[in-house]
Amino acid sequence: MATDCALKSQLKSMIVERLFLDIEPTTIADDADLMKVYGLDSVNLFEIVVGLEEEFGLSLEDTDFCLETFATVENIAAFVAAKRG
Amino acid sequence: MWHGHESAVTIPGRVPLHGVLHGCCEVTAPAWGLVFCDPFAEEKKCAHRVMVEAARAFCAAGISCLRFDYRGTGDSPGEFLDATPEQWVQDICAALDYARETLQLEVVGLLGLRLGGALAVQAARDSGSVNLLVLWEPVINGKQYLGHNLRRSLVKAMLTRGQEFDARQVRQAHAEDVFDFDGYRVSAETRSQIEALDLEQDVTPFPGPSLVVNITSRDQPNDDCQQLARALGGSVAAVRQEPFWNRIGLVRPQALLETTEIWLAEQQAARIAGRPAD
Repeated sequence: MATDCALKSQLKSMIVERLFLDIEPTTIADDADLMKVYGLDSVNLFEIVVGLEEEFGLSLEDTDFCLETFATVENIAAFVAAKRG
Repeated sequence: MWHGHESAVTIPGRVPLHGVLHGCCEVTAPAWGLVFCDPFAEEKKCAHRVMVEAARAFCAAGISCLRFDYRGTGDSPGEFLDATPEQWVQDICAALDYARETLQLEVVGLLGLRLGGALAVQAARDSGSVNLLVLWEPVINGKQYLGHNLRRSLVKAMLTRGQEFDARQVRQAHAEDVFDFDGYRVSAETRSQIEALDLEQDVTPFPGPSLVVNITSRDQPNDDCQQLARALGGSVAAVRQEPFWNRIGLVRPQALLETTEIWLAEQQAARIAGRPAD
């Protein structure tokens, strides 16, 4: 659970930093719809994809590109955890 | 406030190129000038406003600027599909010669953004007569650059095609001989030349001052930019600035312009004093 929280926290910081959001990372709810609440567009999603690769050491496959995966911090965290095995 | 005059010019050469000269009203002695090297495809379009603002800002600081369109882009003749990065390096060299002669420049530099940064490095090496280099978020590795384009295409398709989104189709389209680069048709030759770009391996020390600017959300420049700056033997800086080449819209590039202006002023002062800048 602690690892799960740390991962979500890392993800929130990465999202706030890479998207230049003027908010505290902790204010992002785990289950907040990122596209609806924060108005994420293709440029923002691309930044998140690159962030996952560069900062989390993931290599995304074609099948990883699924809207549901990037919908919330909770989903992204589950995706990262699964990729890390 | 901008002080100077702008005029559309034609840069002579095998292919006459369209350019805009930003001339200073108060010319410094010795006369300094910068030739701008644009980024690639959609990034050029998105960055246009910032490049114009930059030219005006540097001009107000006493440095004349020449912006121009590579062959096959903007208002220069030719088809985008037929043009290649190697030809654009030749275009930069032609623009350098034109700027030096027309503006009677004693010090002439290249300012390149993204792919234009990588082309500027090659043009500086080929021409052998560039006095300084400014590289804004240069493309350092061509394969990674193309890989990012594929990811951008996947993200866009994922957002726009809904249930019909098929990542394999996007990848296949990206692998075709003539492929889509963010809305632009790009030839196999251009792809191969971009793929071959690797500034980490190919760069040799630049004899004049150089500045690599990492445009980032972080306070410190990333490893790639630091490594490139070391290889060139120059400076590196991190500027907190959104990637304005990724979207069309109003951007305030103050931090980027200030950082570059301060560095240019340091180089001018050092040259007058006859010593290298810190």
